[in-house]
Amino acid sequence: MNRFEEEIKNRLFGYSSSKGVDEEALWSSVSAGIQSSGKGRRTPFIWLLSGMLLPFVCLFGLIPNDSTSVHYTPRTVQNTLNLVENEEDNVLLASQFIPVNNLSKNEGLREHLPLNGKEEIQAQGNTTSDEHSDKPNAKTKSTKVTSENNSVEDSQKNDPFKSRVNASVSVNPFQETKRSTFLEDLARNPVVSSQIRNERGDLALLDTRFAFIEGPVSQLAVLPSSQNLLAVSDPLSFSLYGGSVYESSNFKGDATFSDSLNQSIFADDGYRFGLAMTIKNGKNWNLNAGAEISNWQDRFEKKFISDTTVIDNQSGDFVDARKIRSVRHFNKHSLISIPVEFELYKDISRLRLSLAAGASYSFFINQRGRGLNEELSLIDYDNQNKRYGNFFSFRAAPGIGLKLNDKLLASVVYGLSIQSRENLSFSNINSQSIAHMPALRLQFKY
Amino acid sequence: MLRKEVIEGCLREDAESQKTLYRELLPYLNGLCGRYLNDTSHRQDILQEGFIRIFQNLSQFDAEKGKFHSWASRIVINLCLKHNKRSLSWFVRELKESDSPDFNPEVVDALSNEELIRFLKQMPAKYYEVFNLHIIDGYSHEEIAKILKIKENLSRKRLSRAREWIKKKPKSLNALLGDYRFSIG
Repeated sequence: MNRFEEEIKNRLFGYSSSKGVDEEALWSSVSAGIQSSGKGRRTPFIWLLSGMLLPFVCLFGLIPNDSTSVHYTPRTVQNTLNLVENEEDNVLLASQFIPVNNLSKNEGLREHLPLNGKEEIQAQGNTTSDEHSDKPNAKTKSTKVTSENNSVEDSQKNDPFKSRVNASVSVNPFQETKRSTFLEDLARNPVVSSQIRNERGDLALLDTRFAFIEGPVSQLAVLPSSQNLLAVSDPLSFSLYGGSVYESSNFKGDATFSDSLNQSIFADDGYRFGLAMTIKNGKNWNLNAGAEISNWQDRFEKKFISDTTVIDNQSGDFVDARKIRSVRHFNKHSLISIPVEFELYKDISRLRLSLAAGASYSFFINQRGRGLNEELSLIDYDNQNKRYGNFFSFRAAPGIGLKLNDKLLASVVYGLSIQSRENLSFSNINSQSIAHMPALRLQFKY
Repeated sequence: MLRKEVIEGCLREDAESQKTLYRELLPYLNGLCGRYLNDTSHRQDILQEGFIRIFQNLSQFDAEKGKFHSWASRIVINLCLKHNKRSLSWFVRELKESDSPDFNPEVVDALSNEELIRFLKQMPAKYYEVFNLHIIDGYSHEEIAKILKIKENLSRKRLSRAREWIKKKPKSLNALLGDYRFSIG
């Protein structure tokens, strides 16, 4: 450090000044700030968030299924075989359909039925044709469980007609089924039955049964009709909604045009309204798609400071002064958005709690605003020189509704939409924003 | 030097102690804001936020680790630097564009601290930050690197650039230096 720097340090280290500060006004602000500390200010938000999340935690995690839901029992090979043995009144028994004519007495019908990837069940077919044909209601005494590790492929080689049956039955992950429903579906499903009968006649039905319990338990074959066990047939449902939009933007880019980069700015409020249709639904869920028209606004400021000289009115002397010029950018834009949302809901008496999540793509239909150009002069612009391009959003919307009657549901939803918008204009300032979109919704044929 | 009782009173949220601490600290922290803030018109906001943080985090102050003034100044310096970062570009550009005249050599003796600060602030803000922290407040390059979240080498480089900038301001420098004018370089 040279002598010049030492001199500066001596003069400025510990330098105190009371200039430019109103001591009492500052103290009143500080003392008020101490009393309402930062933690206190955050508390309402935390409580609000917790309050919003709690119903959904209860809804989807803690509340047990109600009595109207279908109960399923674990589907194991042994269960299935027991069903074959016990449900005599409902289904045809395995022994009725063993294709004895295709089997040699030595080999019999060998069905390899893996259990948990290790165990396999071998249905020994070393019974005579008389035993089965003469006793149509007999138990399948010859069926037993072994621990052989034969592969499924081997079993299919041994029994070629099975592969044809499998090809006509879709294979889906399936772990549980209701006993009676499973059997009834099996017996009544006209599609599978007819497909099978075309090739093998009645005998094929037995093979269909075994097709179910063949392969790893997690990949058991399922009848097409079983896929609809959870589905609820419902009339066309649609909803109308509308509300306000408050966008909190975080601008990033060239600081030449903005003072407020990298900080959240709440802009003026906008609005939205839209129509949504339920395109698919289930017991506790809807898949909705629709269209909405919205008007959003954002703004930020730019300050220009320059030194100048003004005349002091009292002394008449020229004194140094600082000139501050503020330029407010703003952008008003109208959008058409196409949202697709997956909605989970829970009915509690006349109330419906819901949580929707999804995405949307938004097209600008108009935008206008004011900003700085490269020469730092202020210009107005319109849609031809738009600031943003079309954008993609992620959105979520918790809500609570009241069933007004059998067909009409009125809800309050609090939509949140997160998006990143690329700037197309001269100012080169991109925006990442969260739009808060509280809305009222009327849902018909809910 | 702040009395221990005052700090203990503040920890008990005693209003009288809080005001005493505020009054004792205000001129010093205001001086810091004058030095560190590019745009001093925001000093009241920074001081308000700074005092609130000081009072809220007072329990974290450890007298064995350093002086209370140093601890409090670190809070305010961080706030100033954060504020500058948000408004850095335009301020530097505006100052360059403005016609700020060199200091008049005839007023050297009467050069106030404010004028001295104003002179130093004419250098690029990033150099000035390091110059301020290292030369005036005595922070090491290692500490500066942590405060500014830069590498130590960059801190040294910026200090070097700050010194070069000062050398390239002969008129202002001579006016400022007075008797030291021949000792530089």
